[in-house]
Amino acid sequence: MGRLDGKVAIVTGATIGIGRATAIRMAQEGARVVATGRSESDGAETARMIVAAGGEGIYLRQDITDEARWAEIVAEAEQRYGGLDVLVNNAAMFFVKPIEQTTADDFDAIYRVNVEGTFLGIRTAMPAMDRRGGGSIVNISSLLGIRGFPGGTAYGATKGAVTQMTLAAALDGAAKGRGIRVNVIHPGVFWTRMVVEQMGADDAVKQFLADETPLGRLGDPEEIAGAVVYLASDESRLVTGSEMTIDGGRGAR
Amino acid sequence: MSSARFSGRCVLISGGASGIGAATARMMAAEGARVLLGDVDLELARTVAGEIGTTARALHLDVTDEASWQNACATALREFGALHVLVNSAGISVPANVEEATLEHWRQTMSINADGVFLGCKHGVRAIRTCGGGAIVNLASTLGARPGSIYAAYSASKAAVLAVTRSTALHCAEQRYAIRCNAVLPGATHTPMVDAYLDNAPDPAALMAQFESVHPLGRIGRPEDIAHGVLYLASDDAAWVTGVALPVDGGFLAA
Repeated sequence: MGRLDGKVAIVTGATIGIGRATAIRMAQEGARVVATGRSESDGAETARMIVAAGGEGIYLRQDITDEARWAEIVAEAEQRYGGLDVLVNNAAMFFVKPIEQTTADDFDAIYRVNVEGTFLGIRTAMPAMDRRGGGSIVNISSLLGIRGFPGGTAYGATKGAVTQMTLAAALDGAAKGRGIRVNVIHPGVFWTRMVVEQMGADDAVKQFLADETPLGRLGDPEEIAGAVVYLASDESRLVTGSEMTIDGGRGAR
Repeated sequence: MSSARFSGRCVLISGGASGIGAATARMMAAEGARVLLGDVDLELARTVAGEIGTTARALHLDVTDEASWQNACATALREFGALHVLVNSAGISVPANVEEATLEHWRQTMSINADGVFLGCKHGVRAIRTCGGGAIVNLASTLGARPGSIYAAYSASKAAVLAVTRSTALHCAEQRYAIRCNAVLPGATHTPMVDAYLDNAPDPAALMAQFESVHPLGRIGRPEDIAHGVLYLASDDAAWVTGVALPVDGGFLAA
C-alpha cells in the first residue's frame, strides 16, 4: 500500500536534483509519474530510475515557459494514465548576481521560468484536476523567497512571487468545492547541480554553508520528496495555502 | 512502502485522551509506535489506551505541574526503555475578548497552554537526548499566528507556543542533540474543546457556519487531519525540518 496509490503526478525539473528524487519517491509510493525537464539524457535516466525503484513513470521533454507544451504534457498524462491528480512545480532557474550587474534581460529570463512557468503549470493543470474532482499542486519556492540574501534580487523576487501566487491559487482552488489544494515548499540550502553550477564545486563553500545551518548539514533532496508525498497525499486533505519550510532550521533563526 | 514509520519509536502525548492527542496516538500506534497517553482525565486515557492495545499505556499528566512532567518522562523511560517523540497536545480554549477576560482566565489559559508546552519541551528534551534524539511536535493554532478578537488569552498562549517551538529547535540544534522541534497550526477542528464552544453557543448552527465560512475549503478539521501533519513532522521524512509551523487549516491563513 503506497501513500499515493492511484494518483497521477507531473513533476517538472525531474531531470536532476530535488525533482528527480521527488519523482522517484512518488513512484515508490504508488503514483504514476510524468517526469519532465529539458535534458533528454538526464530525463531518460530519471525514468529508468523510477522503473528500477519498482515504480511506473515516463519522461517527457518540457520547457515550462512554452504554454503549448504544457497543454501537451497534461493531455499526455490524462491519455496515458487516465487523469491528473498532482502537479509538482519544481523546475527553476537560479543565479546569484549583485543588483548592479543584474540586467533587465537577466530579470526577464528568470521571471519567465520561475514565475510564468509556474503560473502556466497551475493554470493548465487546474482544469484537468477539475475533471478528476480535485487535486494537489505543490510549488517549490525557496527560503530565499522569504529571507533576503546578497546577490539574490532577481531569484528572491521570483520565489517571493511563487509564494504569493500559491496563496491566491489556493483560494481559487478551494472555491465552490473544487477541492484543488495548492501549497508551497521553501527549501533551504541544497548542494544540487543547480546550486553547484552557480557557487562552484568548492568543498570549502559547501562546508561553510553546512556549518551555518542549525542542524549542521545541507539538505538531502529526499527530504523535499518526503514533504511532497505528504502534500500530494490525502493525508493533507485539509492543507491548502500552507508554506512548509524545509531548511535545517535556518529560517527559525 | 512506509507503512510503519514509527516502528520502534516510543512516544509521549500530552492531552492524549481525546481530540488531536488521541487521534495522533491511534495513528502512531498503527504505524508501529509505543504510545504513552498523558492526560488529566486518567480514566479516559486508560479507555483510549485499552482500545489501542498492548502498545499503549496511560498515566495522569497535569501539564502545569513540573513534577507531573518529570514523572511522565520517567515513566516512558521505565516502561518503554526510551523516549523518542513528544507531542504536546494538551490545551484549553475558552473564548473571551480582552475586555471580558479576567486575569484568572488569562492565567489559567497561559498556565495550561504556554507553561504546559514549556515544561513539556524542557523535560522532553532532557529525556529524548538520553535516547539518541527524536522529535517534539507542539500543537499551536492558527490563532497564534493570526489572533482573533474573542480569543485574547488563547491567541497569546498559542503565540507563546510558536516562540517556544523555535527557541527549542535552535537550542537543540546548537547543542547537537538530534532533536527537532516543530509546531502544527490547526484551524478550527472537531475536538471536545471546539465542540464545547458549539454546545454552549446560543446558535450552534450559526457558529458552525461561521467557522466553515472562514476556512476556504469550507469545512472544519477532523482530529485525524491534524494528526497526519503531526506524524509527518515527527517522522524521518522531516529529518531536516526544525523550528517550523505547519498550518493544517483548510486555507485559513492563506486568505
